[in-house]
Amino acid sequence: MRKVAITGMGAISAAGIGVDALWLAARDGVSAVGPLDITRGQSLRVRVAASVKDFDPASHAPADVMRRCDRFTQFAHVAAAEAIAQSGLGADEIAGPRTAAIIGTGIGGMNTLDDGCFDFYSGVKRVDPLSVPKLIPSAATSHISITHRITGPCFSVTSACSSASQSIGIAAMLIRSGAIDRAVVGGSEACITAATLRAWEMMRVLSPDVCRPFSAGRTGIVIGEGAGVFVLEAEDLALARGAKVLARLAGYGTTSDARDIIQPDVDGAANAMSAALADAGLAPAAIGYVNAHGTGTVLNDINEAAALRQVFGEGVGELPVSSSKPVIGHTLGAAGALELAITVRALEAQVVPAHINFKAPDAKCPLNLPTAGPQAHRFEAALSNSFAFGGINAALIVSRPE
Amino acid sequence: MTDEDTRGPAPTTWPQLDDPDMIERIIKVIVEEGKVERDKIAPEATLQTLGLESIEVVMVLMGLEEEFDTYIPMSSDLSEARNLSELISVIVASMQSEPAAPTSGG
Repeated sequence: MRKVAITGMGAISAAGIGVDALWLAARDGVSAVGPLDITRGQSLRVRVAASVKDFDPASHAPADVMRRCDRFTQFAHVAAAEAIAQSGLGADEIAGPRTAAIIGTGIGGMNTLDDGCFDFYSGVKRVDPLSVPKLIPSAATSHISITHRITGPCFSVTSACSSASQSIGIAAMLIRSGAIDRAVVGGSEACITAATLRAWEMMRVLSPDVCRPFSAGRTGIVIGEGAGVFVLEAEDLALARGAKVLARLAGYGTTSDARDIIQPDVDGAANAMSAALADAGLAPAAIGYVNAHGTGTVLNDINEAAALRQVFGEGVGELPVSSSKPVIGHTLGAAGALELAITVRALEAQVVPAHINFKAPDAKCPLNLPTAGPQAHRFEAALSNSFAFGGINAALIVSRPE
Repeated sequence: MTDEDTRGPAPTTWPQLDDPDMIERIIKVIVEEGKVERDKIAPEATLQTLGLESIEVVMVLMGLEEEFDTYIPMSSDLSEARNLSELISVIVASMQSEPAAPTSGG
C-alpha cells in the first residue's frame, strides 16, 4: 500500500505566525496565554485566553480577498501558504483534481456569526452581505481550494476538538487508497468571542487563570485559536520529485464512545490509540513520545491517563507524555493539527517538549511528564491524541522518514 | 473512592471562615437552587444524601456565581470534595483565589 509523507507544515497560533514560533514556544514551554482582549466581553468572569495577537490579514493576501474571509479562514490561508511553500510543490503541481483540501473546524466562522447576530438583534438592518459564505464551516476549505486551484475532493470535517486530526486522518486514507495523490489538510478555529466564552464559562471547564494538564489543583482549559495545515503526499511521488520528507504519517485511528455528549470514556480513547498503532503496524513499545490531548479539565486528564495505561500497560511509566495546551491554549478544531506539527518537530529534533504549569502529581494521572523542561530523547515514532465533546476520538502516529 | 486518600478523615464541622455569614449565604443558595430541604444540610452531607443530580449542582454553582459575582471552575479539588463542608471550603477558596481582572480591553 502507498505510504503517506508529510512534506510541508504551516501554523498560526498565540505563539505567533509560523511553525518555528509554535515549536520554540512548545519545546521550551513559553506560554502564550494572556489577558483577554475582545469587544463586548465586559461581563465575562474568565479574563484569559491564548489569542493570536496583532494579526494583520492584509499582510498575507490582498485586503479585498481577506475581507471576504472570516478570521478562521484567514488563519487557514496563512498556515496553508507556509505549508505549501515548504513542500516545494509548484502552483501547477498543487492545482488540479489529484489534490484534496480538507480543513477541519469545530465551529466555523464564529466571529462573523457573532458580529452578524449582535448587529441584527441590535436593530442594524445592513448586516455583512457575505455573512453566509464567511461563516459556513467549509469556508476555509473552499478558500484554499480557490486560492490554489485545488479541484479534487474538498470538504470540511467537523467533530469538535477532533476535527483537525480526523481531517488529516481521512486525507491519509484517501492518498493510500489511490483516490488522490496529495492533500492540503489541517484545522482552523477562531471562536474567541464574548458569547462563546460565556457558553464555555457555563460549562465550568474554563480555568480562570492557568491550564495545568494532569496536575493536582487543575481548574480547566484556556481557550486558544489558530490554524495548522499540512501538505500530505503519496510518499513514492514525493520522493520521485526529490521532496524532503519531514515525517511519515504512519497511523490513524478513530472511534466514537457512543455513550455521553460530555463525559469521556476510557475504552473509546484507548481504542482510538490502539487502532492508530494497528494502522501503523507498530507495537505500543515503538512509540517514544505522546503529545497528549491533555486539556487540564478534571475529567479529560483522568480519562486520558487511564486510556494511556490501558494501551501502553506498565510501559506508560517510561513513556514521555506532554501537553501543548498550557502554551497555545485549547485551539479546539485546530488542536489536532497544531499539536501534530509540534509532534513532527519533536520527532525531527529528537526532543520531548516541556510540560509546564505542573503543581503536584495527581494520583489519578500517573504519567511520565517532562516538568523540568524539554528533554533530549531518542525515538522513532510519536502519537498525538485528540478527544472531543460528543465522544469522538482520533489518534495520529508519525514516524521518522526512512 | 478506592484509591489511597492521604487527606485524613473528612471534616464533620463547617469550615472556619473570615466571614461567618458566608456559610449561611451559600446554604441558602444550595437550598433554593438545588431544591434541597433545609434540615438535610449538614457538614457531613454529601451530594448523594442531598439527592443532588449533576444538573442541580450546575444550578447551585450558577446561583453562587450570581450571589457572589464570581466564577467557580470545575477543579480537581471541587470534584474530590467528600462532603458539604469540604465543598464549601473549596468554593470559598476558589472565590478568594480569583486573579485580579484586567479592567481595560472591554
